[in-house]
Amino acid sequence: MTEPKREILVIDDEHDTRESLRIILEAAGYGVRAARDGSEGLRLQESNPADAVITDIFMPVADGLETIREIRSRSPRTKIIAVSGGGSAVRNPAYLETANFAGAHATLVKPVDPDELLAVLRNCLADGGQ
Amino acid sequence: MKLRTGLFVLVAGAITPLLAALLMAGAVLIQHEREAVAREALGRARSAMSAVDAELRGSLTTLQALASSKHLAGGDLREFYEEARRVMASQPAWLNIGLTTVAGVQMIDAALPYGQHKPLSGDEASFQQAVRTGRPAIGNVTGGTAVPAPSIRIRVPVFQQGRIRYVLSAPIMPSRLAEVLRAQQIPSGWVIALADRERNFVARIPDVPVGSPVSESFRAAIDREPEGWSAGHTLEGVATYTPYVTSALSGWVLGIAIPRSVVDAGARKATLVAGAGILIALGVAIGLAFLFGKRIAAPIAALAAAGGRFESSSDAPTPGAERIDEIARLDRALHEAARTARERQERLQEQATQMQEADRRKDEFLAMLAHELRNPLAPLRNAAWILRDPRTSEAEAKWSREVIERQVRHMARLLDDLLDMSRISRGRLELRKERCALASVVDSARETSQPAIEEGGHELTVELPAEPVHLEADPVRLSQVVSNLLNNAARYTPAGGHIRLRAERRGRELTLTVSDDGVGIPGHMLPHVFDMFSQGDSGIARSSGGLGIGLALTRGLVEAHGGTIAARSQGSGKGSEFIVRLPIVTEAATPAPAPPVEAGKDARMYRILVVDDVEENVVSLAAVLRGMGHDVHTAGGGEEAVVAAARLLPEVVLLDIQMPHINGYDACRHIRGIPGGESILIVAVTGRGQEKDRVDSARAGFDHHLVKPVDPEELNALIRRLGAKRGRMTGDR
Repeated sequence: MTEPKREILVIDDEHDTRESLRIILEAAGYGVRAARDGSEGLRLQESNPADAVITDIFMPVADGLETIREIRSRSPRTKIIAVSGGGSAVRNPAYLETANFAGAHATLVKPVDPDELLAVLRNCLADGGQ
Repeated sequence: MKLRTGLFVLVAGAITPLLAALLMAGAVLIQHEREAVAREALGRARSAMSAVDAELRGSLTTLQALASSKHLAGGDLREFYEEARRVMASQPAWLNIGLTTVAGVQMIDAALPYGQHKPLSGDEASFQQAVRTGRPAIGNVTGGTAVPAPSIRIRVPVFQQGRIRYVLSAPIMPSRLAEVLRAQQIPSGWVIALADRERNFVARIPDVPVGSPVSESFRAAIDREPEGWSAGHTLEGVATYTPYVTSALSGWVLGIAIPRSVVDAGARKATLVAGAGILIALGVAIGLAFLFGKRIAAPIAALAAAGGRFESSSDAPTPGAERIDEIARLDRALHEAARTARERQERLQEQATQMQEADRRKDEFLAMLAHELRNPLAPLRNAAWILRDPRTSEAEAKWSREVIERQVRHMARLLDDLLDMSRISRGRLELRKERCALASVVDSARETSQPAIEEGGHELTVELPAEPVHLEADPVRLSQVVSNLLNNAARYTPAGGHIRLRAERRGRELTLTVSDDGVGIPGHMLPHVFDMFSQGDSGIARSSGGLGIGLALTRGLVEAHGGTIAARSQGSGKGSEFIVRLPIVTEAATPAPAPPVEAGKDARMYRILVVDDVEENVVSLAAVLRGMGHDVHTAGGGEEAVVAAARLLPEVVLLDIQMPHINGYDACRHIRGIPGGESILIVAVTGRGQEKDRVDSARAGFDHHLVKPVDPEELNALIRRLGAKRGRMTGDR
């Protein structure tokens, strides 16, 4: 690992999800910061923007979509992976689409396979590197 | 059939009999007209005939005067001849005067010199008639040889010594009678004619040869009847009606022929007037039918045209519909029907909208449910990955196992909530109510919500009343209510928030308030936060977690406990407040199994008999009561209880109802029968709590009715309360 450690911001209101992702991402060699909601995530972004953000779309305190827009406008270089919790056909495709419009680079549906998440993350960061 | 056609038929139907009557009247009128003409013509004929008769009668009178001549009576024929000559000279129409014997011998011929005469000729019939009847006779037209011109003869018999000796005859020129006819002044075109008994013309105006025969049709009519009305043609070929009369004097016939055109003119005029009247009436009727048909049909057509638009139209009357009452009413009825239809449609629309709304909520609920159920899967999957990963440390593996346990528990709880909600909505939720302390309920809830509160780094403050509060509730469910509210607050409050749980006693009510300084609830969402499928407008911000099921379940549980729940918020970002109100059922004073004799106002010891056929019940209740400091005795059945009561005379008997042999009711009655038994406080302690059971026990003589499991505190309070009253009474005795 010659290049500097990539920093990932994980935003999820669920503690166990956050912490397990931290373990997985750290095992994959990333530096991990975690926030329990959008506003906390934005605060963490302010000082030192992460290379990528993995954010839950359905979050109680700040709208996940709003968070995505904010991150996009404040730190355009940050890659965003949106994760939606709902699996129902009723609304989630629409939300994920909206997430795309809001500026997410990738959208995934919970529960995300950690290997898939790592692959998507690698792709995003590779694009950004070029 | 069109309305107008119908009206025409109506009019035609009404007019047809009228037409028939009019036609009949017309026919009668024509007949009358004809008869009037006929009567008038007949009158004229009669008067003309009278004139003819008068002329003839004049001639006859003259002749009769001559017949009574004294010269003739005296046989002086020469003088008589002279007299006849003078008479003849005075009668210009007379052609001759002849005197003939009955045997036919000519005695005098006034046309010839005296002594000369031509033989009598022509019209033998009238001569014979005069001889036969002895009365004057008038003959028919005859050419005659003595008198070459056509003439008629008048004859008068001459009597001498009572016998007819002679017949005096005078031939008269018909021209004289023609003058009489002309004097009648018959209108031109008419014919007046006189015919003799042979039906030959005596005279006619206009002229025809005297003695020529009358027309066949006239002759036939005359032969049928002496007087009447003949229709036929004149000799000139004109169609006529001919009224005629026959003279009694001469047997002659006089007819006045009137051209049919004249007779029918009046009738035609009458017919014309009647026909015109009918036509005008018909025209007017048809015109009116047309007009009214239009007046009725036009508004109906307008209504029909408007009919399709009634659904959407206003309630204003259709133009033209107001002219006819029935149609105006129809118009109003149509409007009314349209309005009803509109209302029904609106109602259906509303129902459809409501159903769509419910459907939408259900869909959103399902979406939320999927989200809720999927959420725990993320850490589970991650944990599985971590456990599989060879780089994982022992500490991480341990943590991951804990995550799995935690998340599985969480998921199980979610499913439990769902099932509970389903039970509540079907009315199948069973509460295990018992007397429970508020403090322990709150402790349990705190414990459950601890992870969520710590997770958010929130600060929780709890304020409970200083005095212990007891509730008649299912402690597990009540704890669930409180923990749901705490979880909800933790969830919707940004990290490091403040959550406050406050319990207050207000009379017989307990108010539990859970407040936070979190995201709050927008005003328009407040009425819906407890709805099962209420995620709709909440948007993403409030979508996660409990709102879908949690609060709905919470409300269901609170209501199952006879309480209410309300939500308050100043708006978005201003925190929320949930207020639960629950009834306090028992007025507890001291905490449960209390150590003996708490110094109170009434710490007196009572002698108590506990009766139950189940030994455990007797032993445990006796132990509790002894613990409270009472003098307790026991009995295992009704019989034993009565014996013990008689022996001990206890102040209080706690009596089970359902016991073999002698049940509680009978035992109670027996105990009441013991001397002094009436003043014993007897309490039923039974598994039956229906109203009927309470009535039965009261009737059997019980003072009070308690339902198992008996709360010792309550029992103690009851004994002291009732026992105090009774004590005063017995003590005074």
